[in-house]
Amino acid sequence: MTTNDIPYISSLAMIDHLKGYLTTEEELAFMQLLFSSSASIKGANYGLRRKELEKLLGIKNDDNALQSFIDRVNGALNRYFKIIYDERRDRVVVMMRITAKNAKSTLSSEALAILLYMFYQQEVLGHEFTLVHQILVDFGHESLNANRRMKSNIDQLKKVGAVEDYEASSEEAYQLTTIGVHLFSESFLRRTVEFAQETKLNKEEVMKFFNRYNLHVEEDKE
Amino acid sequence: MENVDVNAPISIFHSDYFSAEFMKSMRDLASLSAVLKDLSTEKMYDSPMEIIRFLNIIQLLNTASLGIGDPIDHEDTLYYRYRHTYENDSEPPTLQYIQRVLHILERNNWVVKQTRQIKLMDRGKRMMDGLIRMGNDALAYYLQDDIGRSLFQARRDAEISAAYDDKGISGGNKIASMIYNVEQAVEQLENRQLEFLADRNALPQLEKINQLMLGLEEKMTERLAQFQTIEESLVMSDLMHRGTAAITKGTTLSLSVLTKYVRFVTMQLTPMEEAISPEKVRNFILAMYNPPLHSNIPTAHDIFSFMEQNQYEEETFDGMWMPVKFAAPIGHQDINDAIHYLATYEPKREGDIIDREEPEYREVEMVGDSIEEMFEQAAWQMTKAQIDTTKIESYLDDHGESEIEELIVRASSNKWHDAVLSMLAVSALTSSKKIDRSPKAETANFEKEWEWINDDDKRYTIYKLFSDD
Repeated sequence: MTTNDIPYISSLAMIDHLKGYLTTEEELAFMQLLFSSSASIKGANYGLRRKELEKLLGIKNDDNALQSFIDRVNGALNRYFKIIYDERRDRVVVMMRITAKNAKSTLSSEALAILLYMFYQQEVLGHEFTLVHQILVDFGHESLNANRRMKSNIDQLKKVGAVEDYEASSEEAYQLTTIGVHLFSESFLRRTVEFAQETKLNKEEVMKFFNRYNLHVEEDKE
Repeated sequence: MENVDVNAPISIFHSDYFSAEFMKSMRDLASLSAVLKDLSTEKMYDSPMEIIRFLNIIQLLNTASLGIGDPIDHEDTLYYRYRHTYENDSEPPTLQYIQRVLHILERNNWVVKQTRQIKLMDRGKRMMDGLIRMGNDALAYYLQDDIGRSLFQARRDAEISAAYDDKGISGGNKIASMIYNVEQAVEQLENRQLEFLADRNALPQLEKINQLMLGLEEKMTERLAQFQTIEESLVMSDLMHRGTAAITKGTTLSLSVLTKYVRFVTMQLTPMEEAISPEKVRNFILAMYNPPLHSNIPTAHDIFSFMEQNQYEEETFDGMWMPVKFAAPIGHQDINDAIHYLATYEPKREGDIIDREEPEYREVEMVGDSIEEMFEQAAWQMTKAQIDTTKIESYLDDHGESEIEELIVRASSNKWHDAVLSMLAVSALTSSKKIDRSPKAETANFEKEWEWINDDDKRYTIYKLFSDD
């Protein structure tokens, strides 16, 4: 496989930048990561397992080395891609930034609202999971076919790997995956909260509200 | 039902299904659904206005029947009174619509049209009361915020239970429902403590919840105490435990949130001014899912559209993050391999295939009795079972052949009934081809009790045919 197969990368001047940051193995590992994040056949299993990535990088159980790799790639490419490590599912995934215009065609607005709700519950309020029943009650159970509509929207979220079934609960429940946690861009969250508050807000405050503060500072540093 | 408790409330669930009263009450409900069904058009669910118009008409009829309003003589009166009473309805129903409604009501025995007056039947009165009460209850429910709702429902349950159960009519499992609602409310309160704490505007709401809790505790203990006296203590004691537990938990929780909140506010009086209200965020997210038409609430896609305008720096650019999805490229070698695979596909098998000898099939011709013969033999056996031929056969076995008359007389006797039996046997043997006959000119005369009708009939010799059994 050559870089030509990934049109995005070859057109980015950033890739030259990246060379300076990464060793050859790391570059190859990153390419492998991009490729493996793609196969939609795998369902929600985007990306590589940590072990596989470590093998490509030639390290073993070295948190610092792994983190350094992730930080460097993210540092160089954070305008287009980010690598995230999903500890719970043991997967390293590449996520891609999408413009506001294209974002509309990815998920339905209802699915996004549900995801936002789970995001709020789990990231802001610190709940471990969100009950299906609760979503149904909160999101207008008065409409016709409410349950079916909600399920099909959640299915969309499952397909992109943003949420997964929460097994440990006796009731049907969902938990955000790392993909779900990182899906919303800062601008989107800021706009959303501004609409909710009906006032202009500082981006940092919004990030603080969603417990994304650390993330934000990190990106600023780069 | 044996052992009828005097205190047992009247309930459809425990009544005799075949009693006239029970049938009537069920038919009442059927008529309710019939009216609603006749009224409903395709769009009924989505047009609450249609329903309130119907209820308005009912309300007019109802008040008139109670003597609050003037009596209604016919549709026209109703039509004008509607326009006069409900001035806020910009599209009052047409006269035709009112006629239709009245027609439906009349068909279901809710009203009677008399020449001078439209009168409510008893059934109509009760149904209308019920409908209006239901509507008002629902409105009161929805006017509460989402935590208040469960508590409101709980209080309402307590009231209904007082209104019904005390009068000896079952209000349904109102106590259980009340307790359930309190539990729900307490759970909600517990889950959303954080929001309340962070939200400056939550104070009035918290106060309200606390008030409700206190009021409810009183009501509930009062209700439960009543049930203590009734002999249902086994079922009730469970409920009572649950109820008191829920109430206690709820009251302490609401109080603790309240005190925490007060402390929180005094502690951070200034910085809170700028901060984000979780309650507002939450409500906004809920509204985003399915915003009502003509509202100013954007959906998630609207927010994206908004971002496209790029008012903040790089907003367009920062749309959303998605997991990467490239289609994996398929090389020509892969395609070749796939074709080769399909072309040469062989199912997997375990071990070698052992050649089994094909069984050889030969055509075998049956030599022997034809089917016809077989049947004849069977028929013969059956005949033999009915007709005794042994004497004739044994005689012929001994003598080979004999004249027919000789055979008949010698084989048995010269009596005529033996002759009949013997003739039967001879004819049976002949028909089954055991014996045959040949004509004979001279015959001897034997002494016998009977005569041939036709003397020529005796000129035969009977002989045995060759038989293979």
